[in-house]
Formats: sequence, structure tokens, C-alpha cells
Amino acid sequence: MISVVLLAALAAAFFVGWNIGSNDTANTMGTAVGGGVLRYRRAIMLMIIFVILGAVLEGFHVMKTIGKGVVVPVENARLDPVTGDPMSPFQELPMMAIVALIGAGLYVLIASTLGLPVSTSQSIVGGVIGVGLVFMFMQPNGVSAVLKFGKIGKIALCWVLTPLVAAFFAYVIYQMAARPLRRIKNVLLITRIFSALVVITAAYAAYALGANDVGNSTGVIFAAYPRLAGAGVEEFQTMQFIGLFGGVAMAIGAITYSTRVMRTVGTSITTLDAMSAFVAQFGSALTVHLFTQFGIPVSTSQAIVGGVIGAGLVKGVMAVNRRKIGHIVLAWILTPLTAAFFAFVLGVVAIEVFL
Amino acid sequence: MKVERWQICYAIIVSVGLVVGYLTHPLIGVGVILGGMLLAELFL
Repeated sequence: MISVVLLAALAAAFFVGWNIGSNDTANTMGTAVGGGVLRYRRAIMLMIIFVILGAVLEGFHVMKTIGKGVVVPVENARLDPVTGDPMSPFQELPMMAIVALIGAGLYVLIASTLGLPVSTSQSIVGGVIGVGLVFMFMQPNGVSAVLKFGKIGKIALCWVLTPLVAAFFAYVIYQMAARPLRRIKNVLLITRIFSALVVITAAYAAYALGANDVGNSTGVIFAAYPRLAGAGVEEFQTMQFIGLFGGVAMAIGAITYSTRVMRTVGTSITTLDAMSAFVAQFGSALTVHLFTQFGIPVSTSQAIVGGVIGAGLVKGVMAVNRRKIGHIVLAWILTPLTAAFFAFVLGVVAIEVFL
Repeated sequence: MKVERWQICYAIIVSVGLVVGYLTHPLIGVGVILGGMLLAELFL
């Protein structure tokens, strides 16, 4: 029997996933569509396939971090009747999973309305921290939790590293690829090679996006419902199903609402020459995929900015203005703090109203 | 905003894949989505 709380939690996760799909499709497919290599419909098809593959096959890394890595049970927590492990605070009080998602989603919504580009990954980490503080200080229904500051520190460090690593990868890939490509004198052949590279990179970027970002929308759902009836009794199968759910939410976002964002955001990268656009995107996708292996939720947009900087450095030019870099630095601090504040306030209100 | 036929078609394919994934196995759901996309590419 599916409860009302589970339905509400799935709706909140779907909304966050939909947001990621509608906003980040441009980061993966912008180059291919803007450069005229793929038609919009084909780009969306490619996006859907690879985002869902990434979400199902590798989404569990970040899902575990968001759901069980930041807010952990206290020593004397109740034990899970099936596994015998201490129960996650979200499993004991699933309502707080919804609060974390709504807190982060609300912040993203307000920031987007004000025209500020913010990262969903950083917002959801903030949302989870905010709820963790509610568990620590208010102990709703006697449920307490501990915030793992070591893990939070590691995540913050990786946010700083994301654009730097993407810039490094883009720089190295440019240096490695430029020489053999320059030897080809046939213009038609070089165009075909670039077209193929752009499509392959776009697919890889979509895969990395699915693998990394699906955990943002579904991590707390997994923590609250480690076994979903019907989706299998094993935790891993549940994680794969939740990954599929998050991937489908992102796909629906791409189908329904990505056109406008693709036109506006996508242009920032398509103004680059073909080689720079390719290495910027490849470098950023490689970075996002790398951090996914460590279960770290990172910002795909900030990785792209890093990739563009790396490609520009080869020619000795700064392809991104200082204002954009300033925005990123500000976002590292402001986004998680504000989202945490939103989630904390919402959590306090939810306790007063529903418990 | 005008909704095109392919958008409805893709949305149906991923939704069916999700339901199949829930009822059977997530990877079978992914298979349904991949197969559906292939069919859509052939017939749309």
C-alpha cells in the first residue's frame, strides 16, 4: 500500500528531477543543437536514453551520499527490522525527506526567478544539512541525528575542485587532440569527425548528468524508503528503481521545458569554436563522472565553466568573464547556507503543524 | 506553448518504462524505454 507521505515524497522528488532535466539539458546538448549537428528532437532522444542509463547504472553513488552520508543516525538509534542496521532518521520520519526537497527546491525556484543561476546539487546538500539541524536540535518524535561534518567538508572541497579539474581536463584534451586533428587537411572529413565527437560527448555528458544528479532528487527518498514494495526487496534494486524514477523525471523535464533554457544557456558555449566547445564539454563530463565515482554531488554548470576556462587557457585567453567566476565562488557559500536555512525553517514549521 | 506529437510520444514511452520497471525489474524498464525510443525513431 502506497502511503500519502510516500506519494508526497515522490512528487517532491519528481519536481526536483524535472527542474534538473529542464535546466541542465542545455549543458549536455547545447553544443550539438547550437552547432547544427543534431536536431532538437534527436538531441532530446539522446538525452533521455543516456540520462536514464546513467541514473539507473551509477546513480546509487550520489544517492547514498545525499541520503545516508550527510545526516547519520545516533548511536542508540532504532534498528531496521529487516537488515538490523541503525535506521536512517529519514526512514524514521519520512516527512523530513520532503522538507529537505522542498527547502532546496524553493531556494532554486526563488533564485531562478531572480535570475541567479544556482546549483541543484549545492541546494540539496544545503536542504539535507538544514533538516539534519532540525533532527539535532529539536529531535522530532524522539528521532535524533548527527551531521557528518567530515563528509560535508569533503563535498565542499570537491565543489571548489570541480571547475579546476574540468579546466585541467579540457586543457589536456585540447593539447592531445589538436595535433592529430590539425594534420587532417580534408575539410569534409574534419567536419564529420567533429560532428561525431560532439554527439559522443553530448551523450557522455548526459550519462554523467544522470549518474551524478539523480541522487540530488532521490537520495533522501532512498534513505526514507530503502525498500519499496513492488520495486524489489533488495536495497540495490530499490536504488536502481529510484534511479529510474529520477531519470524519468529528468527526461520529462527535458521533453517539456528545455527549449527556452537550451536557447539561452546553450549560447554561452556555442559561441566558442568547435574544438573549444568539444573539449570544454568533454572535460566537464569527465569531471562530473569522476566525482560521481566518489559519490560527490557536483554542479554540472560549474564544471562547464571550468571546461571553457581550460579550453581558453590553451590559446592564452580568458574565455569566461570574472563576474561569472565571482558568481561561482559566491554560490559555493551562499547556496548551501540559504537552502539549509529554508529547510530548517520549513522543518520547524512542519514539526509544529504535523507532529 | 504548442505541444508536439513527439513530445507526447516520448513522455508516454518513459512513463511506460517506469511502470514496467516498477512491476518487473528496473533494467527491464530501461530496456522498454530504449526499445520504445528505437520504435519512435523508426515511425515518427
